[in-house]
Amino acid sequence: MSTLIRSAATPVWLLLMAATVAGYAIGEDRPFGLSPGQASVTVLALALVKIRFIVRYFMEIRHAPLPLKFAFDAWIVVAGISTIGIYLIS
Amino acid sequence: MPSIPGVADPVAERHPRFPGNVPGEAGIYIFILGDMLLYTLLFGSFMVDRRGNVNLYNASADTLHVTFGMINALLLLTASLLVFWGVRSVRENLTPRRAPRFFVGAIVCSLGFIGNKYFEYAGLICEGHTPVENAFYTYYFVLTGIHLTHLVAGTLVLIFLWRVASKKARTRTDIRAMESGAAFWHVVDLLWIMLFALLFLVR
Amino acid sequence: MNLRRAHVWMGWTGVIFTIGFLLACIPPLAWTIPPRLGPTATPMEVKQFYIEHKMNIRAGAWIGMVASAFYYAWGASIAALLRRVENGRPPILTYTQLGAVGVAVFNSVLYFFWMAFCVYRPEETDAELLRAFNDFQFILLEFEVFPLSLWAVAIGLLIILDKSPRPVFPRWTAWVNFWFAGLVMTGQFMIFFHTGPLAWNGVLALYWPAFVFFVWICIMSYMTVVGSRKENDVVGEDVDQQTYPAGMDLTQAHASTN
Repeated sequence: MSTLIRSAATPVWLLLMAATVAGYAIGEDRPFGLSPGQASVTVLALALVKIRFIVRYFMEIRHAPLPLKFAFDAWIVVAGISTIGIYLIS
Repeated sequence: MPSIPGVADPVAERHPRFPGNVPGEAGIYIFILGDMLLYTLLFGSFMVDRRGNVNLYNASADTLHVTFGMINALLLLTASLLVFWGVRSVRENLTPRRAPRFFVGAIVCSLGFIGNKYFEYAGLICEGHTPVENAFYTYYFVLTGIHLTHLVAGTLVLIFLWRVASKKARTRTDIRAMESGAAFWHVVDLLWIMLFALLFLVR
Repeated sequence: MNLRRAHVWMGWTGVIFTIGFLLACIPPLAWTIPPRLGPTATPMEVKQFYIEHKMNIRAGAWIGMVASAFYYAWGASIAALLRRVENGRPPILTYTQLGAVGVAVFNSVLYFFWMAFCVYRPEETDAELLRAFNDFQFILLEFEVFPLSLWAVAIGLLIILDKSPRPVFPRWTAWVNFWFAGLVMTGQFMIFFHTGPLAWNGVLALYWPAFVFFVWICIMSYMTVVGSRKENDVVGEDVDQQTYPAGMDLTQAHASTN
């Protein structure tokens, strides 16, 4: 059991959980005087970072061949363009 | 060649030119990436439509139950960790008695999500917000609805993973099938992470 | 001319159907992909469109009808190629495919027939009626995706359960079929909406399913051509054509007749 807890995915999970709550707080309460625009972009960027962690650590793409790593990173870039990119021109 | 901790002989196809380990069956990534392609189209379509109706979208998003969305994200992340532990446990033959229980835990999280979704949808509809009310609600119900079908399929996959983990002995084919199923589950998780940010938090 | 060549030609029918279908629907002809009209068009706009583009739409309907014939040839080819996976067992998934081919081709044919019907005498047809007829055209185009999904699932299952030393289709094509089956389904919800991404001119109801369908047919057409060649190459020219069923062990057939 301790081997499992000590796998890389466990601290990543804690990080992701914290990041989810942080994203909620940033989106809902907008601390530090963030404007809605800044908060939205932050929240979307945070989501993409979280997704990369899930892909690399939970899906074990960290150990995968380059083309597969590339395919997922390419998706993250496209998702970023179709969300943050279009948001910024709104 | 990159090694996976504890795995002496990774169970996967190897391409001579690209070292690395493909978790599960290579073909499933056609399905997964193709599915994710639909989602980028949906994200883009949503954002483009939002451009023309920013105030409407913001006002409608304010009526959503954000806490439900966050709890759902936390549930799916936890289920993903349990699935990761479960697959590693089975693959490296650690904690053989506990491995099935990880998947049971993941199934419980998943059912929690479904229950939450029911209350969330029911709440919105009772307040008068239906999929045909305006473009935002159409996108909201369609995006989360499609995700929900993926989640239900993911729950069936979790049940399959639980059954394989409960077997007395597992073959390489079993492990490969488990990794494939786990990959699908993680995609269900990561898509919700994006949907939560996009639908609930963007203003 | 030999059977191998005939089979390979049949493999190309998928491509011919796809090209013909698209050609029939694009703006110069029928103008349904992308559509000139939308669910929110007024009856007069619909009538105007049909009157102005009469000949184009009729040409499109004709080309589409001809293309539809190639659709069943392609579907039958896949079913025939994959039939040997069910050797010795009841060919349930093979028959499922053939049933699905019937439904899919009927749908495609009716779509073009209906298009032809709409544009037969648009000047004398009541505008409201013409608009309703036009709506039906798009229901025919987009509503029937679930039968296609089940068809692809049957194909995918046969591919993935093919444990022969030389599989008919490579394993990854099964995932293309499952991808198609799962993701083309967004189109069926078009009946609930008049605007938005699920309206019949919307992204999710028309363009995405069209894209997914196009990818599926192209990949499976190419695989059918390759598969027909492979399957025919294994069988020698002197194969026994006088006994049933095909695919039987021919050494045993010769032994029983001698």
